[in-house]
Amino acid sequence: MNSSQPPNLATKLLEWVVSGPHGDALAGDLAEQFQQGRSAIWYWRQVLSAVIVCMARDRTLGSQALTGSGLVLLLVAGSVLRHPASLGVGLFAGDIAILLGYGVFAVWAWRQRRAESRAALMAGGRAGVLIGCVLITSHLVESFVPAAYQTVQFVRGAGSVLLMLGLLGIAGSAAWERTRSARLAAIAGLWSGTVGMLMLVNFVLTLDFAFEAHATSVLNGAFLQSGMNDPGAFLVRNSLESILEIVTRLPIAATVLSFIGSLWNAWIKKQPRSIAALAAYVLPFMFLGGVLALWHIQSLPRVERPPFVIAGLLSACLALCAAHPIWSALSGNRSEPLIRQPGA
Amino acid sequence: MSREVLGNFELMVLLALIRLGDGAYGVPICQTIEESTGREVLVGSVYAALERLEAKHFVTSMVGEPTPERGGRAKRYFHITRGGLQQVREMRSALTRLWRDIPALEGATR
Repeated sequence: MNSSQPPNLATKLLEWVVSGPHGDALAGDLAEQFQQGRSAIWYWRQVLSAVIVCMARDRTLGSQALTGSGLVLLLVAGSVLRHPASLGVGLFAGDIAILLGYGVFAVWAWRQRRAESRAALMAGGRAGVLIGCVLITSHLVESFVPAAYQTVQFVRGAGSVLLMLGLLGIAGSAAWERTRSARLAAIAGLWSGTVGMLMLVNFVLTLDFAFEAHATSVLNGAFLQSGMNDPGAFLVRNSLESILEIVTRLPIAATVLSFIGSLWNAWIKKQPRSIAALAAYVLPFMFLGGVLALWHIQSLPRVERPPFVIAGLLSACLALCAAHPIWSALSGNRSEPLIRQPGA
Repeated sequence: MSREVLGNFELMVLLALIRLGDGAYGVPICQTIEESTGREVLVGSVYAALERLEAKHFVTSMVGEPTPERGGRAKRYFHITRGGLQQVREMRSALTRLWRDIPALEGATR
């Protein structure tokens, strides 16, 4: 019989990470076996494996996103250390602050225990993985397909943006369907953007780190105009600027589009099926109109573009955000929410 | 045969629950599997399997009494359901049929 207490730090870690219905029982089982003579090494091994199993099984993707945030911070720090000339203090601090914000959001998502919050986060997480895959594919095409293939690059650029916007709408619509809460739908959208962005940023920074020569050759023209001396430093600074831009913009787009997706779903579920069928006919034209407006701006002088950009994006986004609600209404998917509203 | 498929480890956990009867909680479940396989079992994996089995409605659980050697934490007792028993029977039949068609393995090296 082991009279001493199990390692305190390991126990704290276990209690913090492994929660849920069986967390307490698992901690008790380990303590009981430790008292029966198991070693501290055995205890630590069991705790660490339980933590890994728990994190890997987190279907909200909170723990995975937290790990992803940590990796991104390490990659940013490693890149800057490798090329100190890339360091612009404001840029670096801005990136770190926003990435830390992503990490805090990931911790919040991971610690959610309410069923409806987790359902919304799971819907957002799934959409986020798809968004990450779309953005990574787009980045690969941009990096490895020569810029001379203009059609490919246009399809890549427009296709990936529109797919991403559509997926953000899906995240909000799917989350609303499970929770009947527009607030949770917006959070699901924000979460999908966070997951997708962390996937992309991890991938891009790793790729730049591993294949720096190729990445600098792609940016050679811009580097020559930059006045910098170190192409590696230029690459890192370029990445930091891109990260700052995208990690700032995407959460806003994600919140708005997922909210629109949830509103569409809430509205269309109250309409007769014929309205959903009519919307299914009309919306492709609305989407096409938006895309044509965006296409048209290429032939316009810069000052005349804003109304077409706004109209094109609005039209295409509204149509994309309605795709999931319409599909859901037409397929008869009127799933019950996890939590019934009072009086419902 | 039902559409749910049991993994190897899930089957082992269910068999341990059948053997232990009413006294099945984490520690004896792990010990039973360790004794039969001769390998150390990760308690976290056992609970992950039990959670999956609960989600499939093959297992139910109830909170037991807290004890001092567990740091005041309660045990959680697990019971196999009728659906779980049915699943184990179907699995045994399927495995038996598969084994029946295989020639004796004694001495075989390939």
